[in-house]
Amino acid sequence: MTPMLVPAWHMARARLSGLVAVVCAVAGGAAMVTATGVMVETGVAGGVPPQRLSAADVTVSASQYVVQDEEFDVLLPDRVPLPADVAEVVAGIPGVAAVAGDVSFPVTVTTGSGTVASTGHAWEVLALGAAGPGTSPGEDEVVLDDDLAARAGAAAGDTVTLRAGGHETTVMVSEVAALPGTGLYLSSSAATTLAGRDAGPRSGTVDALVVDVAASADVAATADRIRAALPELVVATGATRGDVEHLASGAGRATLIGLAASMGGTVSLIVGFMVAAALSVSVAGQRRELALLRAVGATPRQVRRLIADQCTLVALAGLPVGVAVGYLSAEWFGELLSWAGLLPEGMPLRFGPLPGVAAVLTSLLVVRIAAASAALRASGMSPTEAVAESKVEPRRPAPWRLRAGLAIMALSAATGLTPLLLLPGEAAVVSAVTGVVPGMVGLALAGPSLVRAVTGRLRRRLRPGGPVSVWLAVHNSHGYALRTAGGITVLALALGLTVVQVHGQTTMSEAVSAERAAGIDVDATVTVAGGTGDRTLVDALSDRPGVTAAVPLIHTSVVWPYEQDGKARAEQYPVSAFGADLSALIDLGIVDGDPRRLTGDTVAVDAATAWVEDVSVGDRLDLILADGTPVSPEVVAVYRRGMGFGPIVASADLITAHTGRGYDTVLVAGDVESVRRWAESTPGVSVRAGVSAAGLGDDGLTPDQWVNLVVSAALLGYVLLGVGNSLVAATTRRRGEFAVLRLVGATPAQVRRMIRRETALVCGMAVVAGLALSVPVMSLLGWGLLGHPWPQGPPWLIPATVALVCAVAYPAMLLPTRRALRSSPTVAVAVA
Amino acid sequence: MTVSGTTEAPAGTATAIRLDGVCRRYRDGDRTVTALDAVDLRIPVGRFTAVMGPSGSGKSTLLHCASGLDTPTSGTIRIGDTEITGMRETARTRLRRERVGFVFQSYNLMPSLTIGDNITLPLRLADRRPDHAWLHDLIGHVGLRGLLNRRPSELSGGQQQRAALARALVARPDVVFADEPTGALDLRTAAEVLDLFGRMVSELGQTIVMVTHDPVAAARADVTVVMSDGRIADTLARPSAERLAHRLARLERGAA
Repeated sequence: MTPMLVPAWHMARARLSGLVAVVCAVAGGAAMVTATGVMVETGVAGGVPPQRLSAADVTVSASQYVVQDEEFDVLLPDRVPLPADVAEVVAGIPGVAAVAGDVSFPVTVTTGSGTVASTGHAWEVLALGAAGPGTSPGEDEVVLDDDLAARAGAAAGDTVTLRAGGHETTVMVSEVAALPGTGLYLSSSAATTLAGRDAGPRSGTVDALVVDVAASADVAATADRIRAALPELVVATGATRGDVEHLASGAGRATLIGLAASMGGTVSLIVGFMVAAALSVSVAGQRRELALLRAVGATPRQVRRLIADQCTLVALAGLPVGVAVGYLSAEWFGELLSWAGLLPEGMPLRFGPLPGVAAVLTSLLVVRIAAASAALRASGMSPTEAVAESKVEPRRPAPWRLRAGLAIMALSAATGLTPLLLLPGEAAVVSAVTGVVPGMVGLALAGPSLVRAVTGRLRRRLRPGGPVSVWLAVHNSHGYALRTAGGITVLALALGLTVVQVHGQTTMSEAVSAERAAGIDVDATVTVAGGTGDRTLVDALSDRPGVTAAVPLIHTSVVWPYEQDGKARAEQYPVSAFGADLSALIDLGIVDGDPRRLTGDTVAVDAATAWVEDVSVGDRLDLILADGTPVSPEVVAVYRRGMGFGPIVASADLITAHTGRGYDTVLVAGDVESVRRWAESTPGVSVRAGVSAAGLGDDGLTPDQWVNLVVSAALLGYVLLGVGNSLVAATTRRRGEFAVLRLVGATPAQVRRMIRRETALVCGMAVVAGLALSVPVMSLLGWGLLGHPWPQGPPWLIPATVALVCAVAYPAMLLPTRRALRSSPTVAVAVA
Repeated sequence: MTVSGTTEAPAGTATAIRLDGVCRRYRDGDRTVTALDAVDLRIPVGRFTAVMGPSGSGKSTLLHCASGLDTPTSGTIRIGDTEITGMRETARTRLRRERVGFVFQSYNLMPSLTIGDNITLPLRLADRRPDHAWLHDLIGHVGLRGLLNRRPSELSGGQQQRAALARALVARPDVVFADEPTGALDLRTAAEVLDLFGRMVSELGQTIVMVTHDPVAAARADVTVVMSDGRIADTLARPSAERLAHRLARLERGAA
C-alpha cells in the first residue's frame, strides 16, 4: 500500500459512524454478489451426480440445446433422442468394451392396492460393466426399486400391470432391490416396446448410449475418440453424466444461470449505488480534515489516494462478514428455489471459493471507483478554497448534474414506457421494471437541484409567524441540499423499486388470471399420472353421462427460432396443446381464423406476437418441440388472450405425432360427480373441480414470481439498512450545528422538533419522488394489460412501504439527535 | 473590586453576575481535576470584563459556569437576581436566551441561514418579534448593512464575527459572553472587533465578559480578572498590555 495508509487509518478511526455505513454497504453488497456467484458457479459446474448411469464410463447423447448467438443457448426440457444404430458406430471405436441404449419412459404401476406413477428403464444399462446389481429381469418380469415397491405396495412374486404410451402389460416382480437409480427396470425388448421405441415417431431411437470402456483403455482418450467420430453428439464423462441422466439437473443449472443473469444487473447497480452513497457521506464528513491535509501540502493525488486507501481498508473489514453471509444466504436461497421447483430435488449448490473471490474483487473495484469520485471535489480544490468550503457543503450542486439527471430520467421513462405502448405482454413488464433503476440513478444526479428548488419554494411560502422548527427544517434542507437529497434518493429508490417489483408481478398475474377467468369454462380437471393419457381414455370420459365435453391437453413448451440482425436467436414459450375442439371449453378470443381447425400440424398465435413476428393465418411457423423435433405447423387462428394462454396454442396432434407423448390432463365440462365416479374405477387418474392444469390454472403468483419477490425483499432490506446507516452518519455529524442552536437559545426539545420536521420533509419528498418514478409506469402497465390505470396488487403495499421507509428514517435521524443533545453544547461546539 | 468608571452607567453599583464559592471538578479517569476552586466573583453591569490566564487556568470553565452552560459542583451563581444553580436544563436554556448572549472563536453561524436570519435566530427560538428599530440600529453598529442576505460562507472572518456579536446582542441580553472572540482573526480585524465590543459597552451600556489569553485584547477591557489554577489570582483595572503579558508570563512559569 502507500505511506498515506497510516493517516488513513487514523482518520478512519475518528469517523466511525460514517464508516459503519460503508462497512454495511460493502458487506451487504459482497453478500449479494457472493450469493449470485454461488448460483453462477452451480449453474456452470454443478449438477446432480449420476446414479443410474454411474456404472457407465462414458455417455453419448444428443444436444439438449438450441444454439443462439451471443445469448445463453436455450435448453430443451424434454429428452432429445438419438438413433439407436449410433451404438454400432460407438461399438467400433477402439477402447469401447460394450455399449447399451438407455431409455426412460413414464409408466404407471397398478397393483391390487392402487396405481402409482414412476419411470421405467432398461436393465441393460445397470448391468453394464463388471459388477451389475441383482439379476436381469426376463421378458415378463420387472425389477422395482425399493422406494417404488413400497409406494405401490408390491413385493417380489407379485403380478403388476404396467401402462405406458398406450401399451399395457402384466408382468411379475422378479426382485425388489436397492438400486442406484429410482423406478422400475425391464428387459431391453420390453422397455423398448413400452417406451414406444419400436414403432411410431420415436421408433429406433434411444435417450442415450452408455459406454463401458475396456479396462486396458483410457476413459478420456476413448471419450475423445468418440467425440471425434460423432461431433454433433454430446460425449460426457465424470460428473457431467448427471445431466444426461437427470434432465432436470441441466434445467436447474440453466435456471440458476438465468436467475443470476437477471438478478446480477439490478444487484450490481444497487450495490454500486449504496456503496457510493455511503462513501460520499463518509467523505463529506471528513472534508475538513481533507482540506487541512491539502493546506499542509498534500497533493490532490495524495488526498485521492488517502481516501481510496481508507475506503479500501474499511471495505476489507466488511468483506469477510459479507462473503460469509453470502454463502449462508445462497444455501437458504437454494432451498427456496428447490421449494419453488426451479431446482431439482437433491441438486446440491457448489460452494467453491470463486464466488467469494469474485465478490471481494468486484467490491474493492466498486469501492475504489466510488471513493475516487467522492474524493474528486475535495481533492480538486485549491487548499484555501478547501479550507473555506470545509464547513459548508458545496453551496450549489453542479449544474451538469441536474441536466444529466433529468436526461437519464427522461430516457429511462421512455425506454420503460415504449414497449408498454407497443407490446402488452411479459416483455413489457420486464422492461417497465428494469427501467426504474436507471431512473433512480437520474434522480440521484438531479436530486440536489430538485431539493433546492422544492425547499426554495417552501421557504418563500413559509408563514412569518410559523413555528421555528419548521422554519429551521426548511432552511436546513435547502442549505444542505446535497445531504438532504442523498437520503431522499435512497429512500425513494427503496420505495419505487418495491412498488415496481411487486406491482409488476401482481399486475401481470392479475392479467393472466383475468384472461383465464374470462376464457375458460371448465367444471373439472382430470390429471393423468405420468402423462400417459390416450384417445381411449378421453373417449371413455366423453361417453360418461353428464359430461358435455372432454378436451385432452398436453402442457409443454416450444422454441421459436428467429433471426435478429443476422444473428440466430430463439425464444422458448410454454404451450398448451389441445387434443380436441376446445371451443366448447375455452374461448381464446379469436380475432382471425378458426380454432376448430386446430388439429394435426397446426398452431394458433396470439395477436401481439403475430403482429411483432408478422405472422398471419395460413403461414407456417418453424418451431422446435420440447424434445428438439423441428416442426412447421400451419397457423390456423389468431387470438387475443395472449396473457392468459401464452403466445402459442398448439394442437396436441403436433406433439403426439412427433414425440409419442401422451395427454397429461383432460378438461371436462359437465357433471363433476359423474367424472369422479368414473375416476374411481379408472387407474392412474385423479379429478379436481375447476381448472388446475399447469399453465391454465388460477393459482396467483407462480413460483418464480415468488422468487422474484424474495429477491426484491432482500434488496429492499439492503437498501433500507444502507439508508438507515447513512442517515445516522449524516445526523451524527451535525452535533456542532445542534450545539450552536442550543447556545443561541434553542431548547433540546426545539432541536428534536426541528429534526422531526426535517425527517418529515425527507420522507415526504422521498415518497413523492419514489411514487412519481414508479406509479405512472405501473399505471400504464395496468392500462396496457388490464384496461384500467390503477395497478393491481395488495392495496396495503404502498402505504406499508411508505410506513416502512418512515420507520427507518425517523429513528435513524432522531436517535443520533437525542444522543448529540445529551452531551453539553460547549463540548460539541469545541469539537465542531 | 472597585473600578473607577468613565461612563454614565452606574458603574460598580449593579451586579450582572455573581459567583459565590463556585467549585467545578471533573472526573478524568480515576483522578479528579479541579477546574474552579472556590471562586468568588462579581461582574458589574455596563462594564467590559476580561478573564485572562494561561491554558488550563479555568477561564473557559468559569465562562461556561457563569453563563449557565455548565453547572458547578458546588457554590451559587446568580445572573442578575436569579440564582441559576439548581435550575433544570430547559429552564436554564430559557433564561440564557432571554438574558445571555454568546460569541465564540469560530463564529458558529448557521451555514444554511442568511446573515440576517442568523442574527434574528435567537428571537425566533424564543418566539419573540424583532424590535425593528433596535435591529436597524444594531446592524448599523456592527456594520453589516447590505450584507444581510449573504450566507456566512460569503463573508470575511471579521464580518462573520461581527454578525455573531449582533446575534448575541439581538435579544438585548443582560450579559454577552465572548470566548476568545479574536482568536481566529488577524491583528487588524481583531482590533476592529475589539473596538466594536468597546463601543457596545460605552455607547449601549452592554455588559460583556470576554475570555482571552491575548494580553492586547484583555487590555481593551475595563477590568481584567487573571486566573491561575482554578483561582482568581488578580483583578486589575485597565492594566496595560505589557503589564498583563508580564503577569501572564510569570504565571506560566508557575510563579504565581
